[in-house]
Amino acid sequence: MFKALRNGILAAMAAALVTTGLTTTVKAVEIQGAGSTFVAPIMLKKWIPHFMATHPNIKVDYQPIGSGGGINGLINKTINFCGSDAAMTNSQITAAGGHVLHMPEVAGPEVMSYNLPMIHKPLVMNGKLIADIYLGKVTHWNAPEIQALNPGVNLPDLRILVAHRSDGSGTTYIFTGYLCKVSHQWKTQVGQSTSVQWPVGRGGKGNPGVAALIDKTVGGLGYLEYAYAIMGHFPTATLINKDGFKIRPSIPAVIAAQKAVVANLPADFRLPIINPTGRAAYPISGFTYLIVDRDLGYMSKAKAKATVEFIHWVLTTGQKYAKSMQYIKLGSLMRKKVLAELSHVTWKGQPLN
Amino acid sequence: MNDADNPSPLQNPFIDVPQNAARRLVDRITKAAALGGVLLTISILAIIFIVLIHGSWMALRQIGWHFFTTQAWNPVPGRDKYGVLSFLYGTGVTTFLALLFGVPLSIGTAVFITRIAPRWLAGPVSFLVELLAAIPSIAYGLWGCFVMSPWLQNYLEPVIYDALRHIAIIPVGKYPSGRIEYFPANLVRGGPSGSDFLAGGLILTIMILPIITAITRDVLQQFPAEIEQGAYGLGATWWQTTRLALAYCRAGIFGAIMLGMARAIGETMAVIMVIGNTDHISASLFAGGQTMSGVLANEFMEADHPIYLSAMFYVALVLMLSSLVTNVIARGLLAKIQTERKAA
Repeated sequence: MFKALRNGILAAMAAALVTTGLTTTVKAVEIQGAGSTFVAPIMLKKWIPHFMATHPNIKVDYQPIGSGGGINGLINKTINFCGSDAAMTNSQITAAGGHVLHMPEVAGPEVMSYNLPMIHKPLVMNGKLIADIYLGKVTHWNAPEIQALNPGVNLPDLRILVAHRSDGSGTTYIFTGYLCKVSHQWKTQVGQSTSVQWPVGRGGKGNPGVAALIDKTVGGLGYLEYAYAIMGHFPTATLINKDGFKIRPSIPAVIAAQKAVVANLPADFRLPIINPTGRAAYPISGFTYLIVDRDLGYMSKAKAKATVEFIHWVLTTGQKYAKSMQYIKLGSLMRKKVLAELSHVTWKGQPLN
Repeated sequence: MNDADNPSPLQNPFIDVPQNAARRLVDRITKAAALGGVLLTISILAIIFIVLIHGSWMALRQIGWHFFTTQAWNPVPGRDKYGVLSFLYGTGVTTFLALLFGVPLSIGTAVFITRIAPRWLAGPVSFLVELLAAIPSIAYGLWGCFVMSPWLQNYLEPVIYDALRHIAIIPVGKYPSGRIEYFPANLVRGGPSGSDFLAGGLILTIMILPIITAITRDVLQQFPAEIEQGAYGLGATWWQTTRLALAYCRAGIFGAIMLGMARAIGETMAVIMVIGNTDHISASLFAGGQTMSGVLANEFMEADHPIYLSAMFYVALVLMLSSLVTNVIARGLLAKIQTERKAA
């Protein structure tokens, strides 16, 4: 009740800010964000232009320098908000002063893409198989492990050319997190991070680099961001989820996955949507976050207000742009939880309303 | 009148500098500015070193010399294991390959431009080679990734692979399976991949061509006509005269090669698009690898915990020191060549 009230006040204040801003401020308030390259397309092409068109008194700049760079910017207080594909670790949160807010803004699934022109039906894979391929235990496309999941498919006797990201990335963080969940050997031997020590394969820089590695070799296999794979018309594998259902990567399948995790989501939202249960849930996706300090006292009050207003807009009005850019918007329950979190942001201890 | 016609040196305005305060001031300002410029340049270098040492301090203390003996690069938090060895190897191998292919090609081109081509052809060829230098490195990278690498994998590498895979001359080691590995078959172990040391070396070859060619051409043009005429007069053939010219200009050509090598060591974007980006050390030209500048470009922005970031700074420090060491060695060799020439 109290939260809902605060929320209402915040929304009203956000609306009021536009008018007061127009009348009292001569110069536009500039806010600076940095971080995730994953979110850059929608951020730079949709959110910032549409937000600035309707909020002429606020200027938003976003530098897609990588999630790690964004987090460092937040720790050093050189930016107003950070975009990150990986949640901050506990030690990073301590370095940033101990109180940060993670607000998921959109979800991003990852797909397994491959280059087998002789196969026309989507291949079926499961987590253990993907882990074994990335561990170098399954090396050929006609291995019994692959054949067992794809009965009747005439698999070629070709080497699997494994591709992975060479740059540190949130995409890798989510992918290796999934492999840790589905393979004990991966968890003990390799682990989860933005860059790992890959047992096999070649690295490509960014989604285009991985796509190029897959594309140039018949037999190539790699993980790509969903949006990139869909826009590039890359073939994608059907994945078997935790409950044994075959799931095609799609927007509804990722929303189903969000629903499956939202009940168990920790209060700070630091949980990827990896290997959820449910008959329609896609197994590999993660949130990309907007991260701010819980108290924005290190910037001017005008900037603090503008930052909160921009994030609020992204989580509400901005969500409608997700689909056209192949991102997946937040489910309604999820969004409610996140907006409640945003209302807790303060400026030098005062509530921002 | 006589005095006026022959002014004493003391009255000569061009010699009378010490008495002119304004001129002395100009002198002082110029000297101070020059000194300031030098100090600024030196201090920038010093600041870079200080920042690198400060940034890598944690890794220097925790990893120390093991950095140079460790091949693994594992940035997963809690498993942190950092070694620069595979990246040093990658930088070394790609630079070596680039010089191996690039130096004969560049010197040949320069000889063609200065000593073979008719004037109407020399200009355009020169211009086209220099144009290669104007292409930004990311454009080379994209071309390498989407054009050269598939071509290598499908056309050139299979030919090399079939030619060398069964040739066993010198035993060099053992496979984990116990089978003995031979040179030169080990150079093509693993088969064609297109994203490998060879691709990295080839892209660097193209990138260092213009600088070595342009400088070699310029120094060859300085070859004195009288020596050339003399050589021909003594009955030397064209080839003998050309060898004389190359020997005469060797200090300059050596300098050109050093500049090319510096570019190859530092080049980043184009290399990471084609080299495969793995922390492996392999004698095979078809194996993936990584260079020092490559790992920095790939991972620096996402280096998200202190020891990882510190290890990245350590790599940068090693990269800077290796450039410095190569430069010092190059200068030493250059000085040796020049003293030899004076003696000759």
